[in-house]
Amino acid sequence: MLRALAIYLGLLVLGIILAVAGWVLTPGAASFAFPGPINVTGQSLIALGLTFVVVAIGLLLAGAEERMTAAME
Amino acid sequence: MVATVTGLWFPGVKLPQFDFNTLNGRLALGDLTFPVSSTTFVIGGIIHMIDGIIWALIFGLIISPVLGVLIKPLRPMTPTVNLVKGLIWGGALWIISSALWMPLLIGALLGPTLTGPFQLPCGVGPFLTCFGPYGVQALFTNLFWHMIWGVNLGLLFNPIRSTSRVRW
Repeated sequence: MLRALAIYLGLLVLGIILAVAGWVLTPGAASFAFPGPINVTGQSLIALGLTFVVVAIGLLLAGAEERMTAAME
Repeated sequence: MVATVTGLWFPGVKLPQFDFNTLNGRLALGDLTFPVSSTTFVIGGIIHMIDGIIWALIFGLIISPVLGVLIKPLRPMTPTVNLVKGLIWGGALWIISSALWMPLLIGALLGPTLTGPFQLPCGVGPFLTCFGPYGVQALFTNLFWHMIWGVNLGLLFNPIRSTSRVRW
């Protein structure tokens, strides 16, 4: 059970690292004016990193629900 | 709804904006004006919400049971397994969106106005690799959008509370 938690947290940390790296690589500030900052590598890393973050948070929430359900039974 | 709104916020993290409401509105009404009218945005939003509900129903009624039958580890309907199924379905829709929906519909509609390298019209490019000034980052941003949708779907989809095995 701790191994699964470690994997989920590892995924979360990996996602944060990728997103931060992408943010640093992408020049300029975030902007809602089209087209905004453009950098293929940086923005790809941000998107992939945030994907990992979202998936990891989902897995942590699902795992927490299973754990709480088991505790209540 | 969560994914749709998040897509509108993408520029806040330096990503291309994913405004599926406007894209659907342009497709339905043939509105190619810039900036887009609020009517096109609202009608596109309604179409997009209905799309999302239909894909979620297909997931609940067909995809989830079929995945449970085909892949043995995905048989128990625990929260984690439901989430994994939601992610699989989100990934499948990402491929459908990037390979078919965007190039065949949006690319054809906005093709002349979206230019790639050398200022040549490129539609949205093969597998969403030429979305206006954006390259492959649009493809990965589309993946991010569909994973948000998949996570929400998987976490909300809990039809039967089966006996779960604690994983951590």
